[in-house]
Amino acid sequence: MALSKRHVWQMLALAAAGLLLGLGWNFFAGRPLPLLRPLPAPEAAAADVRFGEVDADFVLQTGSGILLLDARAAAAYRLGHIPGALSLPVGEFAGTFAALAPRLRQARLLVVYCSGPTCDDSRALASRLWAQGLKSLLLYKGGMEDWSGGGRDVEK
Amino acid sequence: MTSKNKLKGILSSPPLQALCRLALGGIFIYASLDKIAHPQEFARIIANYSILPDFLVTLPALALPWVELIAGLSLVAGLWTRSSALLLCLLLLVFMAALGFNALRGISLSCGCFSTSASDTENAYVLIFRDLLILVPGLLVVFFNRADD
Repeated sequence: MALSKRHVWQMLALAAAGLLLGLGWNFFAGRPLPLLRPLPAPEAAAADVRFGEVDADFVLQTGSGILLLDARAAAAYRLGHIPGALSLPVGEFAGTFAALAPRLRQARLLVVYCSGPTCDDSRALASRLWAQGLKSLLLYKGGMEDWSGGGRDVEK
Repeated sequence: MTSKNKLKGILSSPPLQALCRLALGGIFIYASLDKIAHPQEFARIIANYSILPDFLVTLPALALPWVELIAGLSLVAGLWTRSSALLLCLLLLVFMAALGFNALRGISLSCGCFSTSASDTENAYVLIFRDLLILVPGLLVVFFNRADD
């Protein structure tokens, strides 16, 4: 009936085994938690961010420090894009981002567009950029359709 | 046989003891799984309890679910029966203290009891009462199990 030292040792052993397994599990996990340090700030929930939107007039007067990003596939970009825009296809983000990153980080503001009001690539690209810490982001929702529909210059 | 001994006999009867072991062990095994799968979410829940300093939340978040699992398994298996049950009872007391502390402070939070879902938010007093109920089979094993002494 009485509890003895043996029970205390057994409890300590169980607790220690739990701790070791937890640490081991963490060690082999894809993204281990930091030990004895505060948790990283909550992962910027890019999917929940509501990006501001701009129209063609805003894009037209883009001056210094404002960078236009074309989220469409590279082939579409080659066929014609808004003058001055850089190509950063969201489908090739992983391979393309690193090369562009220095320029993107220098820009004061990034404006992202894709083919038209109904495409989702600009939003998707903005989310990826947000997750990389680039948070001065706006969407040009009208996109290429709105741009060329208004008879504005298209660069090839 | 006095009535006191009779009660003791009932409480320490193998079927009742087995039931208590399976209930308590099973509850803790079940409770551990989602937390093992989502350590980061569980760590955030522990941080929300605002009891431990920030740098100390990840260790319990990693260890606690595994302690629950191992103690639950050994209790179900009938190994180190009373030690496992006592450990789980102590955990329940800690949980109740943490819930009660925050209920008194007026902090409403996600429990992190059985899942790491943020919607797992309930009235803290209900949760404490639930823990009290879970404590019953634990104490029965701790005080009346005759298998391992």
